[in-house]
Amino acid sequence: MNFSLEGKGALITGGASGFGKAFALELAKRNAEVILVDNQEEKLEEATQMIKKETSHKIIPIRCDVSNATQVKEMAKQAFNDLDNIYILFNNAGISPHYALNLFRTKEDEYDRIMNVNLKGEWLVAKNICKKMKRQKFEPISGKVICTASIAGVKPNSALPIYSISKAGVIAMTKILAQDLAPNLTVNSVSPGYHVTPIYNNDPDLIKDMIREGGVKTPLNKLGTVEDVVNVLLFLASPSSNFITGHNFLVDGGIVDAGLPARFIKSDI
Amino acid sequence: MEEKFLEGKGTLITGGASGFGRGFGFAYAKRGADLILVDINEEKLEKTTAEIKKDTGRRVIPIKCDVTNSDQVQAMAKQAFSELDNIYILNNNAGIGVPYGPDLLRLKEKDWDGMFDINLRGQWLVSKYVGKRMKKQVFEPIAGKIIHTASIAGMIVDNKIPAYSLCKMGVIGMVKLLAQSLAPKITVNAISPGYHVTGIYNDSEDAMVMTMQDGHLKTPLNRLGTVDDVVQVSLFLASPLSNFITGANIPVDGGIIEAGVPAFYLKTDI
Repeated sequence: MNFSLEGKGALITGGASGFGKAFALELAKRNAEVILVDNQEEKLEEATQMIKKETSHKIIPIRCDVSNATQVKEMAKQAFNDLDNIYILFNNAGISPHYALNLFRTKEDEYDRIMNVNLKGEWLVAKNICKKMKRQKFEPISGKVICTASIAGVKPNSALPIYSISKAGVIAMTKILAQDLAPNLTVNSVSPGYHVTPIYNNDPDLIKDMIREGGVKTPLNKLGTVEDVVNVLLFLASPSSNFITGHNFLVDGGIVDAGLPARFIKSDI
Repeated sequence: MEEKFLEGKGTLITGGASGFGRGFGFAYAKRGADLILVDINEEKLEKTTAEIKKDTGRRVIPIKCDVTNSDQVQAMAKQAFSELDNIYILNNNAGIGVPYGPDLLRLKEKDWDGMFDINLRGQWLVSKYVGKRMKKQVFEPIAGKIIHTASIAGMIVDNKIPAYSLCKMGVIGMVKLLAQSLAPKITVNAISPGYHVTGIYNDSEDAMVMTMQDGHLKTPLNRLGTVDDVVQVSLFLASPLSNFITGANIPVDGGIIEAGVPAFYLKTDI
Protein backbone atom coordinates (compact mmCIF):
# COMPACT_ATOMS: atom_id res chain seq x y z
CA MET A 1 0.00 0.00 0.00
CA ASN A 2 1.60 3.19 -1.21
CA PHE A 3 1.19 6.24 0.95
CA SER A 4 3.69 8.62 2.43
CA LEU A 5 4.19 9.49 6.07
CA GLU A 6 6.81 12.13 5.28
CA GLY A 7 6.91 14.65 8.09
CA LYS A 8 4.90 12.39 10.38
CA GLY A 9 5.91 10.65 13.58
CA ALA A 10 4.82 7.25 14.85
CA LEU A 11 5.04 5.78 18.34
CA ILE A 12 4.82 2.05 18.84
CA THR A 13 4.67 0.31 22.19
CA GLY A 14 5.77 -3.29 22.26
CA GLY A 15 7.92 -2.17 19.36
CA ALA A 16 10.84 -4.54 19.85
CA SER A 17 9.21 -7.66 18.45
CA GLY A 18 6.16 -9.24 16.80
CA PHE A 19 3.53 -6.98 15.27
CA GLY A 20 5.11 -3.82 16.72
CA LYS A 21 8.51 -4.33 15.13
CA ALA A 22 7.11 -5.37 11.74
CA PHE A 23 4.70 -2.41 11.64
CA ALA A 24 7.50 -0.02 12.64
CA LEU A 25 9.58 -1.20 9.69
CA GLU A 26 6.68 -0.64 7.26
CA LEU A 27 6.03 2.85 8.65
CA ALA A 28 9.71 3.75 8.37
CA LYS A 29 9.68 2.53 4.75
CA ARG A 30 6.90 5.08 4.17
CA ASN A 31 9.15 7.81 5.57
CA ALA A 32 7.71 8.10 9.08
CA GLU A 33 10.01 8.88 11.99
CA VAL A 34 9.49 6.17 14.55
CA ILE A 35 9.73 5.89 18.33
CA LEU A 36 9.98 2.31 19.50
CA VAL A 37 8.91 1.72 23.08
CA ASP A 38 9.57 -1.55 24.82
CA ASN A 39 10.44 -3.00 28.20
CA GLN A 40 13.08 -5.39 26.85
CA GLU A 41 16.22 -3.35 26.37
CA GLU A 42 18.25 -5.81 24.36
CA LYS A 43 15.53 -6.61 21.84
CA LEU A 44 14.70 -2.92 21.62
CA GLU A 45 18.25 -2.13 20.61
CA GLU A 46 18.26 -4.94 18.05
CA ALA A 47 14.96 -3.82 16.49
CA THR A 48 16.16 -0.20 16.36
CA GLN A 49 19.37 -1.18 14.57
CA MET A 50 17.53 -3.47 12.14
CA ILE A 51 15.06 -0.77 11.08
CA LYS A 52 17.76 1.90 10.87
CA LYS A 53 19.80 -0.36 8.65
CA GLU A 54 16.90 -1.22 6.36
CA THR A 55 15.53 2.30 5.98
CA SER A 56 18.24 4.74 7.16
CA HIS A 57 15.50 6.63 9.01
CA LYS A 58 15.36 8.27 12.41
CA ILE A 59 14.39 5.52 14.87
CA ILE A 60 14.36 6.35 18.56
CA PRO A 61 14.24 3.60 21.17
CA ILE A 62 12.72 4.40 24.56
CA ARG A 63 12.79 1.80 27.27
CA CYS A 64 9.58 1.90 29.28
CA ASP A 65 7.37 -0.38 31.33
CA VAL A 66 3.88 0.68 30.25
CA SER A 67 2.36 -0.50 33.52
CA ASN A 68 4.39 2.11 35.39
CA ALA A 69 2.67 5.52 35.33
CA THR A 70 5.85 7.49 36.09
CA GLN A 71 7.76 5.78 33.31
CA VAL A 72 4.93 6.32 30.81
CA LYS A 73 4.78 10.01 31.68
CA GLU A 74 8.55 10.33 31.17
CA MET A 75 8.35 8.37 27.92
CA ALA A 76 5.62 10.65 26.55
CA LYS A 77 7.62 13.75 27.46
CA GLN A 78 10.70 12.43 25.73
CA ALA A 79 8.68 11.34 22.69
CA PHE A 80 7.27 14.82 22.06
CA ASN A 81 10.75 16.29 22.62
CA ASP A 82 12.32 13.99 20.08
CA LEU A 83 9.64 14.34 17.42
CA ASP A 84 7.54 17.31 16.21
CA ASN A 85 4.41 15.23 16.15
CA ILE A 86 3.01 11.78 16.73
CA TYR A 87 0.58 11.08 13.92
CA ILE A 88 0.32 7.35 14.53
CA LEU A 89 0.11 5.74 17.94
CA PHE A 90 0.19 1.94 17.95
CA ASN A 91 -0.83 1.01 21.49
CA ASN A 92 0.36 -2.55 21.27
CA ALA A 93 2.43 -3.66 24.28
CA GLY A 94 0.89 -6.69 25.89
CA ILE A 95 1.63 -10.00 27.53
CA SER A 96 -0.05 -13.37 27.38
CA PRO A 97 0.24 -16.50 29.44
CA HIS A 98 0.01 -19.81 27.64
CA TYR A 99 -3.22 -21.75 28.18
CA ALA A 100 -3.31 -21.74 31.95
CA LEU A 101 -5.34 -21.79 35.07
CA ASN A 102 -9.03 -21.04 35.02
CA LEU A 103 -10.52 -17.92 36.54
CA PHE A 104 -10.89 -19.42 40.03
CA ARG A 105 -7.37 -20.74 40.26
CA THR A 106 -5.72 -17.59 38.99
CA LYS A 107 -3.63 -15.89 41.68
CA GLU A 108 -4.03 -12.22 42.42
CA ASP A 109 -0.52 -11.33 41.37
CA GLU A 110 -1.10 -13.01 38.00
CA TYR A 111 -4.36 -11.05 37.54
CA ASP A 112 -2.60 -7.79 38.39
CA ARG A 113 0.38 -8.49 36.17
CA ILE A 114 -1.73 -9.12 33.05
CA MET A 115 -4.29 -6.37 33.64
CA ASN A 116 -1.59 -3.81 34.48
CA VAL A 117 0.22 -4.30 31.20
CA ASN A 118 -2.62 -5.12 28.80
CA LEU A 119 -5.34 -2.75 29.95
CA LYS A 120 -3.93 -0.19 32.38
CA GLY A 121 -0.80 0.07 30.25
CA GLU A 122 -2.74 0.87 27.08
CA TRP A 123 -4.84 3.37 29.05
CA LEU A 124 -1.77 5.10 30.50
CA VAL A 125 -0.15 5.38 27.09
CA ALA A 126 -3.34 6.76 25.50
CA LYS A 127 -3.83 9.17 28.41
CA ASN A 128 -0.32 10.58 28.14
CA ILE A 129 0.01 10.71 24.35
CA CYS A 130 -3.43 11.33 22.82
CA LYS A 131 -4.28 14.71 24.32
CA LYS A 132 -1.27 16.22 22.56
CA MET A 133 -2.01 14.30 19.37
CA LYS A 134 -5.47 15.87 19.34
CA ARG A 135 -4.00 19.38 19.16
CA GLN A 136 -1.87 18.63 16.09
CA LYS A 137 -2.75 20.48 12.91
CA PHE A 138 -2.86 17.73 10.30
CA GLU A 139 -5.89 17.73 7.97
CA PRO A 140 -8.41 16.15 7.69
CA ILE A 141 -7.40 13.94 10.65
CA SER A 142 -4.80 15.08 13.24
CA GLY A 143 -3.71 11.57 14.11
CA LYS A 144 -4.62 7.91 14.22
CA VAL A 145 -4.62 5.60 17.21
CA ILE A 146 -4.60 1.82 16.86
CA CYS A 147 -4.89 -0.47 19.89
CA THR A 148 -4.02 -4.16 19.88
CA ALA A 149 -6.87 -6.25 21.23
CA SER A 150 -7.43 -9.97 20.51
CA ILE A 151 -10.11 -12.39 19.40
CA ALA A 152 -10.09 -13.48 23.05
CA GLY A 153 -11.63 -10.10 23.82
CA VAL A 154 -14.52 -10.84 21.47
CA LYS A 155 -15.02 -14.52 22.31
CA PRO A 156 -13.61 -14.87 25.84
CA ASN A 157 -11.58 -18.01 26.37
CA SER A 158 -11.80 -19.68 29.77
CA ALA A 159 -8.29 -21.07 29.36
CA LEU A 160 -7.04 -17.48 29.07
CA PRO A 161 -9.36 -15.81 31.55
CA ILE A 162 -7.50 -12.67 32.59
CA TYR A 163 -6.06 -12.12 29.15
CA SER A 164 -9.58 -12.32 27.67
CA ILE A 165 -10.91 -9.82 30.20
CA SER A 166 -8.04 -7.42 29.55
CA LYS A 167 -8.59 -7.55 25.79
CA ALA A 168 -12.37 -7.11 26.09
CA GLY A 169 -11.47 -4.01 28.08
CA VAL A 170 -9.22 -2.78 25.27
CA ILE A 171 -12.08 -3.13 22.76
CA ALA A 172 -14.39 -1.09 25.00
CA MET A 173 -11.67 1.46 25.72
CA THR A 174 -11.12 1.93 21.99
CA LYS A 175 -14.75 3.00 21.58
CA ILE A 176 -14.54 5.39 24.52
CA LEU A 177 -11.29 6.90 23.24
CA ALA A 178 -12.96 7.26 19.82
CA GLN A 179 -15.68 9.37 21.48
CA ASP A 180 -13.29 11.47 23.53
CA LEU A 181 -10.88 12.14 20.70
CA ALA A 182 -13.42 12.77 17.91
CA PRO A 183 -13.43 14.45 15.50
CA ASN A 184 -9.66 15.01 15.52
CA LEU A 185 -8.39 11.47 15.90
CA THR A 186 -9.62 8.10 14.70
CA VAL A 187 -9.25 5.27 17.22
CA ASN A 188 -9.63 1.64 16.18
CA SER A 189 -8.45 -1.74 17.41
CA VAL A 190 -7.18 -4.86 15.72
CA SER A 191 -7.94 -8.29 17.10
CA PRO A 192 -5.45 -10.85 15.88
CA GLY A 193 -6.29 -14.54 16.04
CA TYR A 194 -3.50 -17.10 16.13
CA HIS A 195 -0.36 -15.73 14.51
CA VAL A 196 3.20 -16.95 14.58
CA THR A 197 4.74 -14.35 16.94
CA PRO A 198 7.07 -14.35 19.95
CA ILE A 199 4.04 -14.62 22.26
CA TYR A 200 4.08 -18.27 21.08
CA ASN A 201 7.88 -18.45 20.84
CA ASN A 202 7.47 -18.15 17.05
CA ASP A 203 6.53 -21.82 17.14
CA PRO A 204 3.76 -22.92 14.70
CA ASP A 205 3.48 -26.32 16.42
CA LEU A 206 2.76 -24.72 19.77
CA ILE A 207 -0.02 -22.68 18.15
CA LYS A 208 -1.49 -25.71 16.40
CA ASP A 209 -1.58 -27.55 19.74
CA MET A 210 -3.35 -24.61 21.37
CA ILE A 211 -5.86 -24.39 18.56
CA ARG A 212 -6.60 -28.09 18.72
CA GLU A 213 -6.92 -27.98 22.49
CA GLY A 214 -9.32 -25.06 22.23
CA GLY A 215 -11.50 -26.78 19.59
CA VAL A 216 -10.90 -23.86 17.23
CA LYS A 217 -11.14 -24.07 13.44
CA THR A 218 -9.84 -21.43 11.04
CA PRO A 219 -12.13 -21.06 8.02
CA LEU A 220 -9.32 -19.71 5.84
CA ASN A 221 -7.30 -22.84 6.69
CA LYS A 222 -3.94 -21.34 7.56
CA LEU A 223 -2.13 -19.98 10.57
CA GLY A 224 -1.92 -16.23 10.78
CA THR A 225 1.31 -14.44 10.01
CA VAL A 226 2.68 -11.17 11.31
CA GLU A 227 2.16 -9.76 7.82
CA ASP A 228 -1.59 -10.51 7.91
CA VAL A 229 -1.92 -8.12 10.84
CA VAL A 230 0.55 -5.53 9.56
CA ASN A 231 -1.47 -5.28 6.31
CA VAL A 232 -4.54 -4.23 8.28
CA LEU A 233 -2.49 -1.86 10.43
CA LEU A 234 -1.27 -0.16 7.25
CA PHE A 235 -4.87 0.33 6.12
CA LEU A 236 -5.64 1.89 9.51
CA ALA A 237 -2.59 4.15 9.26
CA SER A 238 -3.55 5.29 5.75
CA PRO A 239 -6.11 7.91 4.68
CA SER A 240 -8.27 5.05 3.31
CA SER A 241 -9.68 4.49 6.82
CA ASN A 242 -10.32 8.15 7.67
CA PHE A 243 -14.10 7.70 8.11
CA ILE A 244 -13.83 4.70 10.44
CA THR A 245 -13.56 5.16 14.19
CA GLY A 246 -14.33 2.99 17.23
CA HIS A 247 -14.22 -0.24 15.24
CA ASN A 248 -12.53 -3.49 16.19
CA PHE A 249 -10.99 -5.29 13.18
CA LEU A 250 -10.83 -9.05 13.52
CA VAL A 251 -7.82 -10.43 11.64
CA ASP A 252 -8.22 -14.10 12.39
CA GLY A 253 -8.97 -16.00 9.19
CA GLY A 254 -12.64 -15.94 10.07
CA ILE A 255 -12.45 -17.81 13.39
CA VAL A 256 -14.87 -15.53 15.22
CA ASP A 257 -17.18 -14.38 12.43
CA ALA A 258 -17.32 -17.52 10.31
CA GLY A 259 -15.78 -20.30 12.42
CA LEU A 260 -18.62 -21.35 14.68
CA PRO A 261 -19.91 -23.99 14.84
CA ALA A 262 -16.56 -25.50 13.89
CA ARG A 263 -17.98 -28.77 12.63
CA PHE A 264 -19.11 -27.06 9.42
CA ILE A 265 -15.61 -25.92 8.56
CA LYS A 266 -13.60 -28.02 6.16
CA SER A 267 -10.12 -26.93 7.16
CA ASP A 268 -7.01 -28.57 8.56
CA ILE A 269 -6.26 -25.78 11.00
CA MET B 1 -4.04 2.56 -2.71
CA GLU B 2 -2.98 3.41 -6.24
CA GLU B 3 -1.19 0.20 -7.24
CA LYS B 4 -2.67 -1.74 -10.17
CA PHE B 5 -3.38 -4.78 -8.04
CA LEU B 6 -6.42 -5.80 -10.11
CA GLU B 7 -4.62 -6.26 -13.43
CA GLY B 8 -5.86 -9.46 -15.12
CA LYS B 9 -8.79 -9.68 -12.72
CA GLY B 10 -12.49 -9.39 -13.44
CA THR B 11 -14.94 -7.60 -11.17
CA LEU B 12 -18.72 -7.65 -11.07
CA ILE B 13 -20.69 -4.89 -9.40
CA THR B 14 -24.44 -4.95 -8.90
CA GLY B 15 -26.11 -1.58 -8.53
CA GLY B 16 -23.14 -0.48 -10.59
CA ALA B 17 -24.75 2.42 -12.43
CA SER B 18 -24.78 4.95 -9.59
CA GLY B 19 -23.77 5.76 -6.02
CA PHE B 20 -21.26 3.45 -4.35
CA GLY B 21 -21.43 0.94 -7.22
CA ARG B 22 -20.35 3.55 -9.73
CA GLY B 23 -17.55 4.57 -7.36
CA PHE B 24 -16.34 0.96 -7.02
CA GLY B 25 -16.36 0.67 -10.82
CA PHE B 26 -14.11 3.68 -11.38
CA ALA B 27 -11.77 2.65 -8.56
CA TYR B 28 -11.35 -0.95 -9.77
CA ALA B 29 -10.94 0.02 -13.44
CA LYS B 30 -8.23 2.52 -12.44
CA ARG B 31 -6.43 -0.35 -10.74
CA GLY B 32 -6.43 -2.46 -13.88
CA ALA B 33 -9.63 -4.50 -13.57
CA ASP B 34 -12.14 -5.34 -16.27
CA LEU B 35 -15.69 -4.69 -15.15
CA ILE B 36 -19.15 -6.02 -15.42
CA LEU B 37 -21.65 -3.43 -14.30
CA VAL B 38 -25.06 -4.79 -13.40
CA ASP B 39 -28.06 -2.52 -12.89
CA ILE B 40 -31.76 -2.35 -13.56
CA ASN B 41 -31.63 1.26 -14.74
CA GLU B 42 -30.60 0.95 -18.39
CA GLU B 43 -30.07 4.63 -19.08
CA LYS B 44 -27.77 5.22 -16.10
CA LEU B 45 -26.02 1.94 -16.81
CA GLU B 46 -25.11 3.03 -20.34
CA LYS B 47 -23.96 6.42 -19.13
CA THR B 48 -21.72 5.05 -16.35
CA THR B 49 -20.30 2.38 -18.65
CA ALA B 50 -19.30 5.01 -21.21
CA GLU B 51 -17.79 7.27 -18.53
CA ILE B 52 -15.64 4.54 -16.98
CA LYS B 53 -14.49 3.29 -20.39
CA LYS B 54 -13.52 6.79 -21.43
CA ASP B 55 -11.78 7.60 -18.18
CA THR B 56 -9.80 4.38 -17.77
CA GLY B 57 -9.66 2.63 -21.15
CA ARG B 58 -10.66 -0.65 -19.48
CA ARG B 59 -13.23 -3.15 -20.70
CA VAL B 60 -16.59 -2.35 -19.14
CA ILE B 61 -19.58 -4.57 -19.91
CA PRO B 62 -23.05 -3.43 -18.88
CA ILE B 63 -25.65 -6.09 -18.09
CA LYS B 64 -29.21 -5.06 -17.39
CA CYS B 65 -30.65 -7.25 -14.66
CA ASP B 66 -33.33 -7.14 -12.01
CA VAL B 67 -31.68 -8.92 -9.05
CA THR B 68 -35.10 -9.93 -7.66
CA ASN B 69 -35.68 -12.11 -10.72
CA SER B 70 -33.92 -15.46 -10.46
CA ASP B 71 -33.99 -16.16 -14.22
CA GLN B 72 -32.41 -12.81 -14.93
CA VAL B 73 -29.75 -13.32 -12.25
CA GLN B 74 -28.86 -16.76 -13.66
CA ALA B 75 -28.67 -15.40 -17.19
CA MET B 76 -26.58 -12.49 -15.94
CA ALA B 77 -24.13 -14.84 -14.17
CA LYS B 78 -23.81 -16.98 -17.29
CA GLN B 79 -23.17 -13.98 -19.50
CA ALA B 80 -20.68 -12.53 -17.00
CA PHE B 81 -18.51 -15.67 -17.00
CA SER B 82 -18.64 -15.89 -20.80
CA GLU B 83 -17.54 -12.26 -21.18
CA LEU B 84 -14.70 -12.39 -18.65
CA ASP B 85 -12.17 -15.14 -17.83
CA ASN B 86 -12.75 -14.72 -14.14
CA ILE B 87 -14.63 -12.73 -11.55
CA TYR B 88 -12.18 -12.08 -8.75
CA ILE B 89 -14.21 -9.37 -7.03
CA LEU B 90 -17.97 -9.42 -6.59
CA ASN B 91 -19.55 -6.32 -5.07
CA ASN B 92 -23.02 -7.41 -4.11
CA ASN B 93 -24.27 -3.89 -3.79
CA ALA B 94 -27.68 -3.43 -5.46
CA GLY B 95 -30.26 -2.17 -3.00
CA ILE B 96 -32.98 0.37 -2.38
CA GLY B 97 -33.59 2.74 0.49
CA VAL B 98 -36.75 4.40 1.70
CA PRO B 99 -37.51 7.64 3.53
CA TYR B 100 -38.43 7.45 7.21
CA GLY B 101 -41.88 5.88 7.40
CA PRO B 102 -44.23 3.64 9.39
CA ASP B 103 -42.94 1.25 12.05
CA LEU B 104 -43.00 -2.51 11.78
CA LEU B 105 -46.64 -2.87 12.88
CA ARG B 106 -47.93 -0.26 10.45
CA LEU B 107 -45.74 -1.38 7.57
CA LYS B 108 -47.68 -2.70 4.56
CA GLU B 109 -47.00 -6.24 3.37
CA LYS B 110 -46.19 -5.13 -0.15
CA ASP B 111 -43.58 -2.70 1.19
CA TRP B 112 -42.00 -5.47 3.30
CA ASP B 113 -41.91 -7.79 0.27
CA GLY B 114 -40.56 -5.17 -2.10
CA MET B 115 -37.74 -4.32 0.28
CA PHE B 116 -36.79 -7.93 1.10
CA ASP B 117 -36.89 -9.02 -2.54
CA ILE B 118 -34.18 -6.57 -3.52
CA ASN B 119 -32.10 -5.97 -0.42
CA LEU B 120 -31.86 -9.50 0.94
CA ARG B 121 -33.12 -12.06 -1.58
CA GLY B 122 -31.46 -10.19 -4.44
CA GLN B 123 -28.06 -10.24 -2.72
CA TRP B 124 -28.54 -13.94 -1.92
CA LEU B 125 -29.38 -14.82 -5.54
CA VAL B 126 -26.32 -12.98 -6.84
CA SER B 127 -23.93 -14.64 -4.37
CA LYS B 128 -25.57 -18.01 -5.02
CA TYR B 129 -25.11 -17.90 -8.78
CA VAL B 130 -21.85 -15.98 -9.02
CA GLY B 131 -20.11 -17.12 -5.81
CA LYS B 132 -20.17 -20.85 -6.58
CA ARG B 133 -18.29 -20.34 -9.83
CA MET B 134 -15.82 -17.96 -8.21
CA LYS B 135 -14.83 -20.73 -5.81
CA LYS B 136 -13.49 -22.85 -8.67
CA GLN B 137 -11.03 -20.18 -9.84
CA VAL B 138 -7.34 -20.85 -9.39
CA PHE B 139 -5.97 -17.58 -8.05
CA GLU B 140 -3.63 -17.92 -5.07
CA PRO B 141 -3.77 -17.53 -2.11
CA ILE B 142 -7.42 -16.47 -2.43
CA ALA B 143 -9.60 -17.43 -5.41
CA GLY B 144 -11.87 -14.40 -5.12
CA LYS B 145 -13.39 -11.82 -2.82
CA ILE B 146 -17.04 -10.96 -2.21
CA ILE B 147 -18.08 -7.66 -0.70
CA HIS B 148 -21.69 -7.01 0.30
CA THR B 149 -23.13 -3.60 0.93
CA ALA B 150 -24.98 -3.68 4.26
CA SER B 151 -25.80 -0.60 6.38
CA ILE B 152 -25.41 0.71 9.90
CA ALA B 153 -29.21 0.31 10.07
CA GLY B 154 -28.46 -3.42 10.16
CA MET B 155 -26.26 -2.97 13.24
CA ILE B 156 -28.67 -0.91 15.36
CA VAL B 157 -32.18 -1.40 14.05
CA ASP B 158 -34.19 1.69 13.28
CA ASN B 159 -37.98 1.47 13.54
CA LYS B 160 -38.48 4.33 11.08
CA ILE B 161 -37.02 2.10 8.38
CA PRO B 162 -37.93 -1.31 9.82
CA ALA B 163 -37.86 -3.49 6.71
CA TYR B 164 -34.65 -1.88 5.50
CA SER B 165 -33.02 -2.47 8.91
CA LEU B 166 -34.04 -6.13 8.96
CA CYS B 167 -32.82 -6.71 5.40
CA LYS B 168 -29.45 -5.20 6.20
CA MET B 169 -29.21 -7.17 9.44
CA GLY B 170 -29.92 -10.19 7.25
CA VAL B 171 -27.11 -9.21 4.90
CA ILE B 172 -24.67 -9.01 7.83
CA GLY B 173 -25.76 -12.49 8.93
CA MET B 174 -25.67 -13.86 5.38
CA VAL B 175 -22.11 -12.65 4.95
CA LYS B 176 -21.01 -14.84 7.87
CA LEU B 177 -22.79 -17.88 6.41
CA LEU B 178 -21.35 -17.28 2.94
CA ALA B 179 -17.92 -16.86 4.52
CA GLN B 180 -18.33 -20.36 6.00
CA SER B 181 -19.65 -21.92 2.81
CA LEU B 182 -16.99 -20.38 0.58
CA ALA B 183 -13.98 -20.80 2.92
CA PRO B 184 -11.08 -21.23 2.46
CA LYS B 185 -11.18 -20.12 -1.18
CA ILE B 186 -13.18 -16.90 -1.03
CA THR B 187 -13.30 -14.16 1.57
CA VAL B 188 -16.75 -12.64 2.15
CA ASN B 189 -17.19 -9.38 4.03
CA ALA B 190 -19.69 -6.55 4.38
CA ILE B 191 -19.39 -2.79 4.44
CA SER B 192 -21.94 -0.84 6.44
CA PRO B 193 -22.09 2.75 5.23
CA GLY B 194 -23.61 5.43 7.44
CA TYR B 195 -24.94 8.64 5.91
CA HIS B 196 -23.29 9.37 2.60
CA VAL B 197 -24.36 11.75 -0.13
CA THR B 198 -25.71 9.29 -2.73
CA GLY B 199 -28.72 8.80 -4.98
CA ILE B 200 -30.63 7.19 -2.12
CA TYR B 201 -30.94 10.77 -0.78
CA ASN B 202 -31.29 12.26 -4.31
CA ASP B 203 -27.66 13.39 -3.92
CA SER B 204 -28.92 16.09 -1.55
CA GLU B 205 -26.92 17.01 1.54
CA ASP B 206 -29.89 18.85 3.01
CA ALA B 207 -32.17 15.84 2.72
CA MET B 208 -29.57 13.76 4.48
CA VAL B 209 -28.94 16.23 7.29
CA MET B 210 -32.71 16.44 7.89
CA THR B 211 -32.89 12.65 8.07
CA MET B 212 -30.06 12.59 10.58
CA GLN B 213 -31.60 15.31 12.75
CA ASP B 214 -34.90 13.50 12.65
CA GLY B 215 -33.11 10.38 13.90
CA HIS B 216 -31.21 12.28 16.64
CA LEU B 217 -27.91 11.13 15.23
CA LYS B 218 -24.47 12.59 15.85
CA THR B 219 -21.40 11.76 13.79
CA PRO B 220 -18.26 11.69 15.96
CA LEU B 221 -16.01 12.58 13.03
CA ASN B 222 -18.21 15.65 12.41
CA ARG B 223 -18.79 15.46 8.70
CA LEU B 224 -21.10 13.82 6.19
CA GLY B 225 -19.87 10.71 4.45
CA THR B 226 -18.81 10.69 0.82
CA VAL B 227 -18.91 7.97 -1.79
CA ASP B 228 -15.11 7.91 -1.69
CA ASP B 229 -15.08 7.02 2.03
CA VAL B 230 -16.83 3.76 1.16
CA VAL B 231 -14.88 3.17 -2.04
CA GLN B 232 -11.60 3.29 -0.09
CA VAL B 233 -12.76 0.55 2.27
CA SER B 234 -14.00 -1.55 -0.63
CA LEU B 235 -10.54 -1.23 -2.20
CA PHE B 236 -9.03 -2.50 1.05
CA LEU B 237 -11.40 -5.49 1.02
CA ALA B 238 -10.60 -6.10 -2.67
CA SER B 239 -6.85 -5.94 -2.02
CA PRO B 240 -4.50 -8.61 -0.64
CA LEU B 241 -4.23 -6.53 2.57
CA SER B 242 -7.48 -8.07 3.80
CA ASN B 243 -6.74 -11.69 2.82
CA PHE B 244 -6.96 -12.94 6.42
CA ILE B 245 -10.32 -11.27 7.13
CA THR B 246 -13.58 -13.08 6.38
CA GLY B 247 -17.14 -12.83 7.70
CA ALA B 248 -16.56 -9.30 8.97
CA ASN B 249 -18.80 -6.27 8.78
CA ILE B 250 -16.98 -2.96 8.67
CA PRO B 251 -18.96 0.17 9.48
CA VAL B 252 -17.86 3.24 7.49
CA ASP B 253 -19.92 5.85 9.24
CA GLY B 254 -17.67 8.37 10.93
CA GLY B 255 -18.12 6.48 14.20
CA ILE B 256 -21.93 6.83 14.51
CA ILE B 257 -22.56 3.26 15.61
CA GLU B 258 -19.48 2.47 17.63
CA ALA B 259 -18.55 5.83 19.11
CA GLY B 260 -21.68 7.94 18.65
CA VAL B 261 -23.93 6.75 21.42
CA PRO B 262 -24.79 8.41 23.74
CA ALA B 263 -24.70 11.42 21.47
CA PHE B 264 -24.84 14.14 24.13
CA TYR B 265 -21.15 13.74 24.94
CA LEU B 266 -20.11 14.61 21.41
CA LYS B 267 -19.09 18.12 20.58
CA THR B 268 -19.88 17.99 16.89
CA ASP B 269 -22.14 19.93 14.56
CA ILE B 270 -23.40 16.91 12.66
